[in-house]
Amino acid sequence: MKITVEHTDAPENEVVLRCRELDEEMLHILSLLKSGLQTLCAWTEDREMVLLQPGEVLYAESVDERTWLYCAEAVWPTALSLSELEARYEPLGFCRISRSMVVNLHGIRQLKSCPGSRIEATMRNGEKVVISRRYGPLLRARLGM
Amino acid sequence: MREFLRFYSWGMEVKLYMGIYTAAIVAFQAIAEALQGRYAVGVWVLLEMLLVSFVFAMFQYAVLPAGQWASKKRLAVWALGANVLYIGAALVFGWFPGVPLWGDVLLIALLEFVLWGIWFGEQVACWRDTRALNENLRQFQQT
Repeated sequence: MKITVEHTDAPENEVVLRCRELDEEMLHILSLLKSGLQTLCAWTEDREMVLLQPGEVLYAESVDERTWLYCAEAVWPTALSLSELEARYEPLGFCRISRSMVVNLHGIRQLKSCPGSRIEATMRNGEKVVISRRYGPLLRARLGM
Repeated sequence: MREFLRFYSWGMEVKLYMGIYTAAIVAFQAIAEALQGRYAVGVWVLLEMLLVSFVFAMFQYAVLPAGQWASKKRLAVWALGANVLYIGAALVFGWFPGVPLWGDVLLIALLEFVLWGIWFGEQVACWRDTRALNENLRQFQQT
């Protein structure tokens, strides 16, 4: 991919992406650009962009090297990785809970401590996700425990 | 290094439970002896109890590894194993000599109560932790 930076007298900074089609690489770049605007960039099957507020996302899961954003009533693929989601949206309540999941702490209805240092989280839509032993201390630290 | 750390972690958990179970069974033996007017427990009996508790702690680690206390099937196997091991060892090694039949029944009832107590302790710890987790979650969500 060719990257060109032009210095002009334009009144506003502008990023132009030129491509034959929106491939994974371009989707990833677009997602990163859009996520800088406090929105989450997801895609439909027809590669139409869907902008989500971080608060709409309950959790994100990585399945077969693709990242999926789970909202209350819909699931969207995104080009962002779990690490990127965790890093960018941590101040908004995103927290890693297992190798394949990042959860939005504001999307949790209740937590349940299970034997063996595991924690079960019930999301606002009733779905249950498990915080693994390894990531339990991280969650507790985020909650100020 | 990873294998060593796993072994170390295994050792820490097994030794903890071995110590708890040994202390409990020695206490019962001491009470049984004291009630019959004897105020000593033999060294071999202590070593036998330590060995049996070590075997049971290893069995518990295998049957109820961390996180599996909620499994009713595993819990049943664990309780059955405790009964077989401790009652069997008491018969084989001749623990609690001179205790009448009603005393044996009482000791078995105490064993069941102790096993229930261990399970209940896990549940209480989880309830308390659940309450603390949700209180902190609410505070986090309000800020």
